[in-house]
Amino acid sequence: MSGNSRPFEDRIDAYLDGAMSFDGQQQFERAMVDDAQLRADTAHGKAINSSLQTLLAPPPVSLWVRKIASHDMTRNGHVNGTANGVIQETDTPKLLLTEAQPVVKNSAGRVFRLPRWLAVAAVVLLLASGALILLFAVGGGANSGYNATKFRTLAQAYADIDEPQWVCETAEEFAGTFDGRFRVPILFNSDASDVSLAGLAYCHTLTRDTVCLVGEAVGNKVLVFIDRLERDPHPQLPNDSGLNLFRREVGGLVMYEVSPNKQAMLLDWISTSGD
Amino acid sequence: MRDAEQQHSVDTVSDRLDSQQFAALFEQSWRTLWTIGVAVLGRRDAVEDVLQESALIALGKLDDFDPTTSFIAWMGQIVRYTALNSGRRRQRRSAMTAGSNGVLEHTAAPESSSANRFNGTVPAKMEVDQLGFDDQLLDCMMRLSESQRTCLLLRVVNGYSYREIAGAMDMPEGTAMSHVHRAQKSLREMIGQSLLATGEKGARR
Repeated sequence: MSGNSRPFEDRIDAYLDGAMSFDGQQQFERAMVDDAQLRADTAHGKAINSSLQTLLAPPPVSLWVRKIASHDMTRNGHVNGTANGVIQETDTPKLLLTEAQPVVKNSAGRVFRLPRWLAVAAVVLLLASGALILLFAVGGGANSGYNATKFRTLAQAYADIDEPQWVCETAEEFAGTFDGRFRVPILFNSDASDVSLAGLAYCHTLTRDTVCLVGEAVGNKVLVFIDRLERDPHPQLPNDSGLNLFRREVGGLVMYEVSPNKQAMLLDWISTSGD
Repeated sequence: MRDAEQQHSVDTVSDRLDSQQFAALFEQSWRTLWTIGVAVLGRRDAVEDVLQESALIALGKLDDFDPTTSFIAWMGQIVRYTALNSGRRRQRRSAMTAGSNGVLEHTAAPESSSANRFNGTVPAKMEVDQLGFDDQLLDCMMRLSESQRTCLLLRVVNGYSYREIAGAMDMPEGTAMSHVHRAQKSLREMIGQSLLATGEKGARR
């Protein structure tokens, strides 16, 4: 126990939680000035919370969850339309909200069911706004049907990715995308007239986290696969692919450029924002 | 006796969930269930498979669920057991893949990303940067008990109150609070020691 020697140690979490009174907070901060260990522990606590929030935040609800309701139950407890333990997508999926009436409970705990027309109207509104968001986010529905989580070799990815999933409007947004994913902000600055960058795509190629630049150089599609250097699996292209592979390391990242071109056309224009 | 937590857990008039009600509750509980899954498994990439498997299992056992009790607590237990089984299966597969020379087969997508796993070792040459910190943190997380990990993530990542954590984990509120505080303290100590050791190694080089 360190209660007597370091009375504030047990209050680090309360301080980081913002659960202290103003006076308590000031006392704690004064104690930190004199206590290097408390300062270090608090900094570690803050860094831990921040990293956990970044690394392990739950993703949005998967589409298959909404499809559970559209599958009939069989007597033995399995869901129709499944194979290998995975709920399969159907041609005409019925979203949950179109089938179920929303349930609302008042303060007395009594249950009311909203009218069906209201539920349908809400669903239509949701779907319309969702479609609009997708339209803007994906840049006109490029790569519809493209599954970014499916593993692809470099050659397969080159064949499958024709258009970007994401278009950055500014250099800051571009750098921020890589900063958020790899903690390395990178820039693409090209003044060559025969080189252009269309946008970004996500793919499971070097690792599950690979980001792919989709561009064009001297009339050929060019993809640059970017991931963390220490995860580099050192991929190769098949001899008969007709493609060339170029590698470069930039600021803790590894980049593989794939195209039919005889030399790397995009790699040289990539730098870290600190360069 | 039924407590307040249980009374508002499921808003249904029937004594049995149908698949639509189940789907609605599952969707509402998604963040909690996902966090329980990642806390048990220690890796992001397998959580979705576990949740799908858990949903299938739960759908087959809807008759066992009492709609007057907490859905999250019931479903959370299913996710937990499914995740534990999945982890064991994965361990067995890893042991078999190791082969006679003891070397793991190389795959095109190495599973050492800090975003994708908790377990494993930090590469020796990794510098003390954010990435190294993340990897160390995830390694340290796996040294906590499963309950501590889950309570901590529900608190820090999902921002739940101790009461909500207690409801999801089917444990007293004080226990949930204790798990979170012990987990945070242990992590701070482990990370501190780890950074100190790394710094000393660097200084000797």
